[in-house]
Amino acid sequence: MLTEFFGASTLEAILLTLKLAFITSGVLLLIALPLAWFLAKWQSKAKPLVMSILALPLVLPPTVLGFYLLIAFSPQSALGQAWQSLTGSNLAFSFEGLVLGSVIYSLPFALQPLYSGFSQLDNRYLDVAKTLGFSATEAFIKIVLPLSKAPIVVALGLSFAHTIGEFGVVLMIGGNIPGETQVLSIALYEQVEALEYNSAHNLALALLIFSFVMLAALYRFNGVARSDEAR
Amino acid sequence: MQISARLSNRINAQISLQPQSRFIGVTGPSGAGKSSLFRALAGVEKTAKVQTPWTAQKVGIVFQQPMLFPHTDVRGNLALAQRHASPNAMSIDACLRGCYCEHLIDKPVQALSGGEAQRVAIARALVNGPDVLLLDESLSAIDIFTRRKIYQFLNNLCVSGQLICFAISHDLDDLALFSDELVFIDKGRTVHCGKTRDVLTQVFEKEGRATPSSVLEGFKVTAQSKANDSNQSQNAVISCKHASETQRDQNVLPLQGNEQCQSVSGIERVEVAGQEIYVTAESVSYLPQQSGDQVPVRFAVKACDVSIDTNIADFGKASTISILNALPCVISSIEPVANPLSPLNEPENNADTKLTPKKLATANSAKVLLKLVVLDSNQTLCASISSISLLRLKLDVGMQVIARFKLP
Repeated sequence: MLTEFFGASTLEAILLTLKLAFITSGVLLLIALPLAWFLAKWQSKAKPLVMSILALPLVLPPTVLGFYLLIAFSPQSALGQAWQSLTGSNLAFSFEGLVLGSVIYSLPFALQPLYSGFSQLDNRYLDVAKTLGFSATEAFIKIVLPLSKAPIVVALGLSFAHTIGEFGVVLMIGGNIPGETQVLSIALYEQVEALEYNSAHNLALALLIFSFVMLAALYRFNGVARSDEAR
Repeated sequence: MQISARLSNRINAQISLQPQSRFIGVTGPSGAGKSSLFRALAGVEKTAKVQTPWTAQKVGIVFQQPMLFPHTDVRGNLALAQRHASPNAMSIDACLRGCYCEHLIDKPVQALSGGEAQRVAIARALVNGPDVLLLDESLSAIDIFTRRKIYQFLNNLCVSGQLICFAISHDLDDLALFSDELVFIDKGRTVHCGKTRDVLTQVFEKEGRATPSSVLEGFKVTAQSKANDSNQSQNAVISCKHASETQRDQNVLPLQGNEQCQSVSGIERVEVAGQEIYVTAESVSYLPQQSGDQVPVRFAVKACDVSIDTNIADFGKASTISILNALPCVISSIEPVANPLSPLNEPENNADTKLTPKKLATANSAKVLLKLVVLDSNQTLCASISSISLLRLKLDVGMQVIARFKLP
């Protein structure tokens, strides 16, 4: 049924996009959790500088970021050469390169909710945990993570939704290789270029509904979590 | 026991305590650094330099805000505290019973009232089995009856040697009742430190309060001790050293008719300087038993609850008034009570130690504070009376009187 509605190539793009979004948001959570915790506790004059660098993808045009990533992933760069010697393949125009680019591009969307949640967490919970004999790591796992359920879900949701909708960076570093780097937004662009408006309508509407449902669920969850905390 | 804590720009406190002290009260004005001191002692202030005699021991802290982990219920909070509990820690049931919160075990944290949450927070700290427990106004939202019972429970743990407890409170009656020693902190420094009754006197003098509390110690009268002492008490004699000529020769029986000796639920009888005093059960604090069968106890009496009776001949015969307790005393000093609203009554105006009763009564002070030494003991009792009564009864230093007070 889905194949009839979207067409085989579009369905392949949908599955690739979902795969990319799941991997990206999973990797982002692993990176952003300790990074946000460190930043929330870190007091230094250099902190605004570091925070600005990490937030750059929020304001930078995706093509600018994509351009620099393309240069960094090229076989002539140190990163590209290291990747090639490790895996034997190019980083640019590959799914792995797409994952790396998406992680960098969506990092602030995962980092900001977590940083904000950790900064607002009352430190006395940790003081109590410490006097109850918890190590710092155990307190983080047993106390901080359960208390930060809402920011974690928001970070996951935002990075997932943002990865689904990304275009500029993907186009620059991934190109348009069906089954390898052709994600939803690129497929939609290609359908419009080919004047296939019916298919483009179906895909655009599906993306619109998905994004709306995703955001509504996130706002709903965040609201429930906040009212639970306030009680 | 020597304790020192330094935290830049906030506290620089040196505290010297008797080694046998197990329950230490801490008080002082808001912003004095009490909570910072406790945070330093608990080891949660990274920059604090602290020296304590309990370096290898487990220190627990309970804040005024209970800080129960909201992602789990009461049972979950207690289970988390039990993960790293000391081998000799009390069971969850015993802690819940002692803190009067057994019925809250399955409640979500968000459903607890402020007082209930404080009780659970204390139980959680105890489940972890600390050697030293720091209570930072941790019972402030609990009603007085439950609060006294929990203090009693904690005090019993201290008396049995299981715990050393430090408690911050602004309620000096609670501290007077339960503290072995009292520390007064101001501007991050220890201003007074020592025996509770001494520090209380210093604090009240400094603050110029009209209703200080006095701490009296004695022995709990049990059925056994009563049987042993019955003959003695019936023949007890009070010497009337400063009484008038007619009063001097009278031997007065204490207030101990058979009807008063009957035990009443909720009331304890305490022997103080040979006299039997009635005290409500929740206002009695038990002290470590030294030897023999006698159970040493402590209770506090507010100065405003003490009346002065000059008719010492009727010491044991006051059957027409409802006040139960009477102690023969000698007036050791009379001080005007500073009126904080009156600019004429500043401390320097009261520095004159040779004030006569008449001067005192006219020193723009509605009330005066009498310090009374209980006969046959070195214990002191404060009484706050009006200047009118001072003049009418012609009270003076050295005079023997009866201090009558309702059961604390």
